[in-house]
Amino acid sequence: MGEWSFLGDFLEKVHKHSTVVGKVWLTVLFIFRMLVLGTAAESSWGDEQSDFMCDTQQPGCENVCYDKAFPISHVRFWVLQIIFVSTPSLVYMGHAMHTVRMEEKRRMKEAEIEARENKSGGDTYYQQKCSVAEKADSKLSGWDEAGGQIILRGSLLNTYVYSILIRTAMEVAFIVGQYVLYGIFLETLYICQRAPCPHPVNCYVSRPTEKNVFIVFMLAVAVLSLFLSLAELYHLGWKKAKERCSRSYKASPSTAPGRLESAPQAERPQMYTPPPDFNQCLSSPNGKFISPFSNKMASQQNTANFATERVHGQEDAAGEGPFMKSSYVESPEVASDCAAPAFPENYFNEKRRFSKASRASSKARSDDLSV
Amino acid sequence: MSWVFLRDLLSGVNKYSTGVGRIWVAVVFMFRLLVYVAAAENIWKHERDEFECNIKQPGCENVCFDHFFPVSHIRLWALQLIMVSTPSLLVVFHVAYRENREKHHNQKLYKNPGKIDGGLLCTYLISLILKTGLEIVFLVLFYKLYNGFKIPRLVKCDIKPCPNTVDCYISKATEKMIFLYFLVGTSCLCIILNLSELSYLIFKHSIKCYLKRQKRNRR
Repeated sequence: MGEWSFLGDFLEKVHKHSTVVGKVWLTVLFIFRMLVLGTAAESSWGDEQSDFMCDTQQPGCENVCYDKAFPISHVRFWVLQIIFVSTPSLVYMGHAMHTVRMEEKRRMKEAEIEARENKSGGDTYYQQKCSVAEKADSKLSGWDEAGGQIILRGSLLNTYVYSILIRTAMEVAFIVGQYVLYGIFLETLYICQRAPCPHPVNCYVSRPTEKNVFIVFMLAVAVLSLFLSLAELYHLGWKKAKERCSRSYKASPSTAPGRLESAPQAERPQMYTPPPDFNQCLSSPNGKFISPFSNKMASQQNTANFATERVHGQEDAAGEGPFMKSSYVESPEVASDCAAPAFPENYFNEKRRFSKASRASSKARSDDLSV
Repeated sequence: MSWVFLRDLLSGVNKYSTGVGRIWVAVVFMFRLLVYVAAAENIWKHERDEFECNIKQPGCENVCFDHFFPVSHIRLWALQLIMVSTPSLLVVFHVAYRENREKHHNQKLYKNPGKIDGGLLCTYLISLILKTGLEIVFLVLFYKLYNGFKIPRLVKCDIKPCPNTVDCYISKATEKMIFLYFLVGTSCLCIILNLSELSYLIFKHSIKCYLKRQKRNRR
């Protein structure tokens, strides 16, 4: 069982940054697969060859018949299955850690830039926008400064979805592989005809019933894991589709802001409404939350957003108009409770062009999935 | 002493590695160490007891087994894992030396002791070359010792005291071959990762040196 601690430690980190269904999947993996394999199944298959008896005295016949009956033992097959099914999660974890590291580097760079700015004196509007744009990029990459948690969006969300898809494919491949190799149940008697056995010999598998119990159990757990993976995919896909539908329903038909709208809209699909649990965004206990709007930006943002609200057909990504407005009004306080808003990549480009009449909203968004 | 020791050592290496280096550590942990400990060890556990020759002559089985398996696959695999992981410790030692030096002189000598530059870069490159070299050496050893990456079901043995050419049967031949191919595959993957990390680091630092030289020439 100690050997699984290698994998267990890696997967604990994945556990922190998964959705609810992902956490359930990991728990199933830990308890019903690794633990059962390490403790019970291994001992059941412990004497598999020593007690594999063939009805012959011909030396070597048992060896070759066992080799023919079990090209790869069930236990080893399940070990490989667990490893291959866990690997996509580790790839996602690698990407998430990479995001964290990039965010830390970006923050250090920003601190240096601000220190230099303070030395040179005189903040220009452009410099402020650049720094906020950098922060916006980091939000797109999915890092919540308040809670120290990874927010699933953009490329990170894509990696997460691909990891689930590959995991599902691996699961299916191994279930099919097990069926092709052994069928579902193990027979007590195996008739073997292979040199040097002089004739077809009867070979008897040790503990077939106990092995069948574990085979059925592991197969059921694999099917359950597959189901959980599919549920997670459906959950992610459905939320995304729902958000897209609500957005396209509320989108304005007017042409003037159309150009401005479409670009942010193209970026928005990458965000999606999370399950209700994750609407609560954490703020760090020592109140170190850094508002996405620096104090210098606040007044400019106010102007822009009031202008936004005045204009017709204002875009509302999450479809929660009243909530969004009220949350903006309390911006400084709410900001400490919510995850940082997500800005589409070209939002600030457009802001520079259409400063006060900017269509895109810059209110704090509550639909960030911090997992 | 168990593999946990090696795992803890390698976790330290992770801190001072590049991105590709971290992928290498993950591959070594997941696809080599874990597979070895969880699966492969058990396959080769009773290989001597299950090795059977078609003869009653005492001692014949012993000499035949010894002839065909001078060093068992599983022991070579363990040696390979250890040898291939240890060059990474050179980097850890160098960083520890840097930190020690800073403490000794009581001043900040390095911008970041863990950053791969200067002497640490040379150490890192040497560790990569050593790792790649050792991987290749072990693959060649496997190939030469066992006549290719094959495990036959039947081997013929005529060494004294066997009175004639006897048939000897190796147990779980197919399963052993599957895991041997797995070993070879992961070794090749690690070689590719090491070589790409090596070329990335050399390329990155030559660009850096070139740009520095350009800056100096402009002044």
